[in-house]
Amino acid sequence: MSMETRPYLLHALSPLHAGTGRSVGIIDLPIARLRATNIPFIPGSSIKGVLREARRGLPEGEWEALFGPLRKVSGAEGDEAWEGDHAGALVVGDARLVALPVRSFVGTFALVSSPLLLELARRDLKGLEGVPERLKRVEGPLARVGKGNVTVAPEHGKLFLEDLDLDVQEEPAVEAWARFLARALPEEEELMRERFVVVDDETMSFLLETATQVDTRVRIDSTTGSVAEGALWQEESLPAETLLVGVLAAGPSLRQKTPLGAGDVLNRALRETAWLQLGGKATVGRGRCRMAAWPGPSKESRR
Amino acid sequence: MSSHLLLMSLGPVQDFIAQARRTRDLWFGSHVLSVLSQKAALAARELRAELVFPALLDEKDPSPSVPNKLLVLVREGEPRTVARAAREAARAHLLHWGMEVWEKHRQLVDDQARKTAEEQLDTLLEFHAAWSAFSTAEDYPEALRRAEDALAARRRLRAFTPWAHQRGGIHKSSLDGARESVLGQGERRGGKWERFRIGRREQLDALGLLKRTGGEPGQFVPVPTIGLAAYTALAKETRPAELAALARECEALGREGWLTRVDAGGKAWVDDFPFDAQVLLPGRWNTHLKEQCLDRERAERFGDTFVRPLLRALGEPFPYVACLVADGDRMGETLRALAPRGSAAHQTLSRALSGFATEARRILQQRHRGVLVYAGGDDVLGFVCLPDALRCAAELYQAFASAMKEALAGSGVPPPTLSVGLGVGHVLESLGDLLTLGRQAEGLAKGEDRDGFALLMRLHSSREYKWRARWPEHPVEALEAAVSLREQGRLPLTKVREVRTLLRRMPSRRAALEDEASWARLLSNELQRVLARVELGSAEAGLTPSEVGLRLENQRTWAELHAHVEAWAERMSLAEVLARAKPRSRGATGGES
Amino acid sequence: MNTARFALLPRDGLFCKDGRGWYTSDVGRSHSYAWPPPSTLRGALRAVWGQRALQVRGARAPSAEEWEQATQGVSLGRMLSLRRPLEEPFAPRHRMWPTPADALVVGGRVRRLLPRPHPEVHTLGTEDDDALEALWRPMAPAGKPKPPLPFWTEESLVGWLRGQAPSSPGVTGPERRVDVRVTLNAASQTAEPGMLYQAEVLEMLDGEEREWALGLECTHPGEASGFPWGPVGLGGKRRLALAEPVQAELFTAPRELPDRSPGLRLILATPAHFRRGWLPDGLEREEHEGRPCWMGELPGVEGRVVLRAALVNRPMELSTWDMARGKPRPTRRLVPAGSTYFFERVDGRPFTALKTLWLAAWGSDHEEGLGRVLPGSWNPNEEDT
Repeated sequence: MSMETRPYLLHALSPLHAGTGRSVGIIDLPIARLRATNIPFIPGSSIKGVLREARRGLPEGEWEALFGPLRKVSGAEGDEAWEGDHAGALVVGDARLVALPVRSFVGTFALVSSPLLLELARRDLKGLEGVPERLKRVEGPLARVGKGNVTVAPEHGKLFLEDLDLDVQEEPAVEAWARFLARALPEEEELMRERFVVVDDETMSFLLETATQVDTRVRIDSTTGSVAEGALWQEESLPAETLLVGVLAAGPSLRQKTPLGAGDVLNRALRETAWLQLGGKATVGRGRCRMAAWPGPSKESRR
Repeated sequence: MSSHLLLMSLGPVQDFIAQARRTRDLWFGSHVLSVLSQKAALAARELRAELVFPALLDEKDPSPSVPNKLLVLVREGEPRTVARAAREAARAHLLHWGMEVWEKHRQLVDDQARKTAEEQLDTLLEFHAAWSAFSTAEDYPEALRRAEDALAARRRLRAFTPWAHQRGGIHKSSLDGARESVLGQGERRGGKWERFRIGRREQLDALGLLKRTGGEPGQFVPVPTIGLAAYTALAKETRPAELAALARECEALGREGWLTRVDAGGKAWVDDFPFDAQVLLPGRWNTHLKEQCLDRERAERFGDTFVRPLLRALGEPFPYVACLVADGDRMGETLRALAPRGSAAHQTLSRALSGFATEARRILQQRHRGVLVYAGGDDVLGFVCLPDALRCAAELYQAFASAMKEALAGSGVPPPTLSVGLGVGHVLESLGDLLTLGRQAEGLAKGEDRDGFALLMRLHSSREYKWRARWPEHPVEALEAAVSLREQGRLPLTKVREVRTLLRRMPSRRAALEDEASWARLLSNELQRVLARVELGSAEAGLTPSEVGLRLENQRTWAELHAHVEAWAERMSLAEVLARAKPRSRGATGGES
Repeated sequence: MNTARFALLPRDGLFCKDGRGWYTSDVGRSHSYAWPPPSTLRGALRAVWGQRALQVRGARAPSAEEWEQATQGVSLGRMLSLRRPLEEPFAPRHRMWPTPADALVVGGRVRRLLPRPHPEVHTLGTEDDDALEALWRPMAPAGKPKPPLPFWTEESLVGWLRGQAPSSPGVTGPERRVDVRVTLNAASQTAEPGMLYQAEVLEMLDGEEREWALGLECTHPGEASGFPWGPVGLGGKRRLALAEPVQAELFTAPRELPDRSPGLRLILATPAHFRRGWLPDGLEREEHEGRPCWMGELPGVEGRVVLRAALVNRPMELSTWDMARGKPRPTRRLVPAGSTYFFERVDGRPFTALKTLWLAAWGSDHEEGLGRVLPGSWNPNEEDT
């Protein structure tokens, strides 16, 4: 039995920042990005931790089979093998950006993607039915949209994103992509279809740097009630409505007396939409997101 | 009868030093190399070889450091015999030293591993030598060139043999990942395990054991203590009672074996707080003391009663430290240029470099709050607290310049310069990584045209900032001016960010532009506008580009202008970190925007 | 026996921890190999095979012997480093090679290091070894060499094997990123104070929309087709690597390879494991032309040869994990990839079948993909001018 994979969609409901916590000496807290390409991502390890919490409802044995038993002590001390210890059957891959909401002069915001982002997503989605074709790369700056996109300024036939104005071309493949992504979140179909835009890769890399949310944050000293000295920082986050794609992979359960095939493991991990709280406490209204899978047949267990 | 010029090199250097988990591993590893070089040089002198590089050798004290490349004159006898004697002296010393430590700390080691340990000690040293004959003073430069070429070529073959004495099934050293651990199995509690801070899951090979236990615990200043030196100094000045109470408690914990008192070893600044200062970091006193097996409640009580009062008065310490790496520029060229003046000229230069090494130690440890790890010839490696780092770098540069000027006076050879890099990282970063940061900074400082200074910071947010300038451009003054702009609160950080965003909206540096001049005009107009705009509620007047250190008029091309503005933004971000690194009492105004 | 040929595409970057473990600093920090050693890849493939084989048999917890037996037939053949534009299928032009040790970048140009005898200047090494000191040495061109870039393109390498210096100094390897993670306390959902983990990750996607991958030839017992059947867990924390089938042509020798040469130059494409460390197997100490030397026969090479020169960097210390026994294996000291050896035939005749040496295996542990060589021409009389 080898590993099976299944893609998932992550939809931000409030600004997302999966970072390194805060500590003194931080001036800015950037979001995690791939270093070479600047593409934002959320580490699979962060997602796995919160998914584990979200799936507490599973029977104890299955829960342990999926995620592995909890370590009794954290740190080096807890790093000893013990009787009954086993690896969790579930592997959570990083979630990579597929569409970024960007302010639009018309229609409030557009969900912006690019051929590179879609190509990377396409690899993860391979095996699902109806994955749209690769979108050709084009010379920019140019925005490609589907029919009836609400973010195109009707009188100009242009798209105004942040302070960019982009020529617009209609292309059916763009709509196909929007519809396909929305299959994981059917209630958002209209939103995605009306706002999905594919810009050229160069324009996208500009937006990746400029269209994230940056807030200035302070820490209040609990004893004085004023701003703690040196405790001011700029925190970057992925805005609400951001879409990311990742994959889950699983092998068969390694837990004694809990036999689950790889497909069973994935079914349990993705049974219904999971509501996740990423990046620590929700006190500042951040980090809410949901994780959903595409319905229908995917490559189920092959023996 | 002809003489020989014999060139010898001992290694490994950089990798060996970088294999360090605790501060003491680093200091002692560097010390070991210096002693081995010293033993080799002494053995050569024993056989009546004349030392050229280093020219001076203190038989008792190999500090600051003996360089790992030795140049000697063999006027009589066989150079091969001299080289071999030098090699064997170093090798035998290491084996003896390592096994001495082994015998002394039998509680820590596994008896079955003796053969493994001996092999590890016996095979560490890398030795290469080359020699060339010369008969007259005129031949000396050519002989030196031949020996240098041969040594460089010979070092392209690093012969090695396989390990013969491994036991298998044993974890590898946490320091190098290759050599088998020689530590004993089973429970690690109390006694020497704690005194030498050997962690629960840590593994040490025979060299790691030598590094860890060769010196006395407390002989080495922990990196957090260096990083937080300005903070503890301020605590001593403004909150003497609280600091004294904390120190008394640390002393008490020390008597029970939980903490080790640091021996200042002539570094007066260490006496402000002679303990591992990571206990001052929120979230660390717990972890740190728990690692020493102190129970949780007591660790928490320690923090609440003794550390928190200081944090309330002075804020949290800024937990970063600078790794300083300096290296003389074009030293090989200088040596070759000097060669026609014979070995005496080389010896004069060597003595000047030894003098500089001593001066480097004074600059780092007495003039500033830092610790010298290594100073061999023109190479300097050390750590210094962030608020002192800039001035320390500048003084080193000056000291090198004047030592070289004096040594080369009248020779017609231009004095070499010193490139200095400061790599800044978190005080709890692995020492190998801090060293890497320092070396990267040094590489950046050197650049293509040498004579440079560079500052490189890696913050825990995984953001990296770097800036480089040549010494004639007065980099330290430029950074200090930027720091004071931030401290006075005159330049809000939001403006720096705005400038960065502005740059991204302009053509790239490499863009081929037909109308460079109009783009340049546009950019500088925009910059003036951004700087001049006055923030709501601020009584301050706006700023001009020159007031903030932007020299827009000096840039000739679009690429230059773009690079200049980009470097400026980077410098301002670095200045912000430097401003925050200066500890202040509560109530003093900070540079917040 | 069956041979599967595929490329592994690590989805979330590569993280192949070296022997140092996690506890290398006061905060958790792991270090990864600059590029995965072939043995790590074979280990991952054995794991895939073993899980399947034992699953079919219904054995839950295999013994060390069962595991060993079930998986020992899985061996790695030729292994390639690859880099391609995202949309292209893998082809030989995407092959990347370790930078040869006989190349030096001085003054912005790639220069060839050409060994020659230098009887007038003597040398001594770490051990007394007159045959080693009698080896020929290259004279480096004047000027300070730049540190070499880790990889060369196929085009550069093929020219180099023919004796031509490339115009490009090489290719930087995959971008490295240090990921900093905090440990979250499950109950409070806050970061555990003082608990940070840092891991070095190699990113497979570069800034020019090209991706790095590993090309593998893997033989295995049995009929199973489609091996490895799905993604492979690779390196620490079981990162996913997707498998993509490739053509056999990807591994074949380039047409422009030289076939005849007065001397033979062998460059290691993967690290090699020799019985005596740096010295290739098959050579013995003898006398030649009145001087001590190493002489003998090499696998696949015509005639008796004499070793003229060797350019070898410090050993790569390979510490692998014995999955079945749950214990570390002894450390092997390997000759690093890129190391270069120069030979002449004892009878003075030229070598006439260099092409047959393309990615031939040398030394021991072939089944782990170690010891693959690249044949190059060499004129022993040529000197740097």
